[in-house]
Amino acid sequence: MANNAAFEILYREYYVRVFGLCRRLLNSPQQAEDATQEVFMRAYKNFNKYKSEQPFWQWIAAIANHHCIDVLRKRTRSEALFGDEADELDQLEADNPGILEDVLSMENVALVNQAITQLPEKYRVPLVLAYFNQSSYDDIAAQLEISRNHVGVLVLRAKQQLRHLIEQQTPEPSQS
Amino acid sequence: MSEERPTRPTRPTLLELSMLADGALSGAEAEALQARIESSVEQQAQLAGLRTTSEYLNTAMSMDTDSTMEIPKFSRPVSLRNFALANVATGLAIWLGQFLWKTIFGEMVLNAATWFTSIYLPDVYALSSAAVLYLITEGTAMLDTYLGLIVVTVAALAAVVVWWKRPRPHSSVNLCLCVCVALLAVMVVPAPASALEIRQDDDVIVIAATETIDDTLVVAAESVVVEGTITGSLIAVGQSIDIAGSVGGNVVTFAEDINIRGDVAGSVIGGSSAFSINGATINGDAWVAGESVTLGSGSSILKNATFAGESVSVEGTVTKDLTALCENVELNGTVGADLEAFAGRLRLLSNANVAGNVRFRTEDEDRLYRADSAQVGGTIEFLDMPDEMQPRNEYTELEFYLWQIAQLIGAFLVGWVLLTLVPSLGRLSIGAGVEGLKSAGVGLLALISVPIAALIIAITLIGIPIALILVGVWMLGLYLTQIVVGSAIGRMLMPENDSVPQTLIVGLLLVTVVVNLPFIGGIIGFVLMILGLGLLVQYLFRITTSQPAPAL
Repeated sequence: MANNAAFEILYREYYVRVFGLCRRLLNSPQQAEDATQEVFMRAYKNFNKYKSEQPFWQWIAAIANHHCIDVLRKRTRSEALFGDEADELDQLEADNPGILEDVLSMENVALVNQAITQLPEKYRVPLVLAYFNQSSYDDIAAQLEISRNHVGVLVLRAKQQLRHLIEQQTPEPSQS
Repeated sequence: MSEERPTRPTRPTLLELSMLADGALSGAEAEALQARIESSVEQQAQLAGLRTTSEYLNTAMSMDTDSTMEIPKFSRPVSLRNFALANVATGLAIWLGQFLWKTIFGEMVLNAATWFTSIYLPDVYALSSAAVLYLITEGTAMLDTYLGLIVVTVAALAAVVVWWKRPRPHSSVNLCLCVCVALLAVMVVPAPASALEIRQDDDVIVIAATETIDDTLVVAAESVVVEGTITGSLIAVGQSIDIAGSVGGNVVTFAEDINIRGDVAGSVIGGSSAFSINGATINGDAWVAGESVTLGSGSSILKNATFAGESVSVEGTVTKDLTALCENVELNGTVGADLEAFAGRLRLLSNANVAGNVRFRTEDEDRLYRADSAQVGGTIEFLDMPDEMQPRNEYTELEFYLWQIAQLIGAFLVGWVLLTLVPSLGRLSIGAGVEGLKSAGVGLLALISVPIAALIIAITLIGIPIALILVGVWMLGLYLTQIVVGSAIGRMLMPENDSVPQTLIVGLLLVTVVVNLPFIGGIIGFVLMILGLGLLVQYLFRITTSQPAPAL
C-alpha cells in the first residue's frame, strides 16, 4: 500500500518528463502516450527492484529509452537502425554546412525544436538521448548497441542536419 | 648531424572536439586532446562553440515540455489472479443485487406490509414482541424462501474474508478456495427468475402495446405510459403514470396522477394526488394513498384494499376487506368481506354491497349515509377507535399479565444468549449526570435520524432494500434496548453478583414493572429506551473505532 502511494506520487511527478522523452524519441504524441503508460506499467511491476539511492529519473528514463528504442526497431524493421559508422563518417566529412552555433538563438527555440522533429530517427534518437536525457555517450552506445564513436558521429550529423533544416526554415533577410 | 625537430600534434577532428565538448571522452583521452589544442586559439574557440551548442540544445529541448498537460490516471497492471477475482466478485455482486432486490423487495416488503396492516400503532415492546412471534410462526416458510439468500451472503462474505486475509505465499490456494466458494454459492442458490431493467427520461416513456419486457421494470419520467406487457414487477415514478398493459408482478408507483387500466398479477402500492383504478383487475392487495382515490366500475381487487386520502370512491369490487382512512368514503360497488372506515363521512350508495360487516369509526352516527338499496350482509358498527387504541383498564385483564410475562421471558432468553456471546455488552452502564444525558441524547438522535435516513434512501427506489435493512437493524436495536438497560439496572441493584442471568432477570423484571406503571410508565419507558439505544450506538461506535470504553 505504501509502495502504491509512493508510486502514485512519482507517477504524477515524472509523467510529463517521461512523456516528453518518449515524444521526442518516437516523434508521435499518440505513440508517446501509449509508450509512457507502458513505461510506468513496467516501472510499477519492477518497483520493488528500484533502489532509492538511484535518482528515480535515471531509473525510469532507462526504462523509457529501452522501450522507445524497441518500438523504433519494430517500426523501422531494419537491422541497422542507426546506419553504418564508416558511411556516416564519410558523410560527416563531406558535408560542411558551417557551425550550428551561428544559427542558434533563444528567439528561435521553437524553430529548433521543430527542426529536431524533422530529423531522421538515426540522428534524432542519439541527439535526444544526449541532450534531453543527458545520457553519456557510453550509455547511449550501450542502449543503441553501437560504438561510442558511432554515437559521436550521429550526434554531429544530427547537428549538421539541424543547421540545414534551420537555414531552410529561416526567412532570408531582405536585401536593402 | 641532423637535429631532431619536435613533431607537431595532428589537428583534432571535429568529431574529437565534439565528443570532448559533450564529455564523452575518458579522462586520459580528454587530457591528451586538451593538450593538443592548448596552443590553438581557433580550436579552443571551436570547442567553446560546441559546448555552447550542447548547452543550447539541452535548454531548448527542456523548454519544449508542456508542464500543464493533463496527466491521465494510472491504470495498475491487472494480474490474472486479480482479474479472475474481479470477475467472480463482479458476477456475484450483480447476481446478489438482483437476488436481494427480488426477494427482499418482491416478497419481504409485501409480507411486512401485510403484517403492518394487521396492527395499530403498537408500542415498541409490543412491536418487537409481535415481530418475534411473527418470525416464529412464519419462520419456516421464510427460512425456505431466504435460505438461498443466507447461503449466498455467507459464501460471498467468506470469499471476501478469505481473499482479504490471504497469506501471500499461498495466494493461488486462496484463489482456488475463493472460486470454489463462489461456484458453490452459485450452484446452491437458483438464479433469480427475472432481472431488472431501468428506463429514465425527462419527457415521456412509452412501453408500446407490442412491447414485452421480461424483467422487472423501473421507470422514471415526466409521463409514463405502459401499454405493453411486463412480466416482472413495475416500479414507476413521474408526473403522470398510465398503466393500460398487463404487469406480471407487483406495481409500485408514485406520481401526481396515476391511472391503472390494465391487469396486475400481484399487488399495487402507490401514492398520488389522483389515483384511479379503472377497468383493471388487481390480483393481489392494494395499498393506495392519495388526495382522491377511485376504484372505478368494472375494476376488481381480488384481495384486500387499503385506501387513504381526502376522498375515496369505490364503484368496483374488492373481493376481501376494504379499509379506508379518509375524510369522505363513497361506496357504490362491492366489498366481499368487511368494510372498515376511519372517515369523516361514509356514504353507501345505491349499488353498494358489503358482504360482511361495516365498521365505521366515527363519533357521530349521522355521518353515515345509506341508500335504501345499499346492501350490508353483516352488521353496521359504530366505533370510536380501534380496540387497540380504546382507553381501557388493561391491568384488570389476565391477557395483559400473560403477555408481559411472555415478553419478559422472550427478552430474558434473547438477552442471556446475547450477553453470553457478547459479554462486553453486559458491562455497559447507564451512568449518571453528563454521561447519562449524553447516552440519552445519542439515543434520541438515533431514534429520529435512522428512519429519516431510511426514508431518504428509499426515495431513490434502488435504495429500498438498503432502507429496509436499515429499518430492520433499527428495530432490532430498539428491541435490544430493554436488554441493555435491564442488564445495567440488574448489575446496579446487585453489584456483588456476577451471574449474568440473575442480574438480567432482575433488571428486566424491574424495567417491565416500571414501564407499565400508570401515567408515568410511558415516559419512563421512553427515557429508558433512548438511554439503551444511546448506549448501544456508543458501544458500536467504540468497537468500530477501537476506542477504550469510557468510565460510566
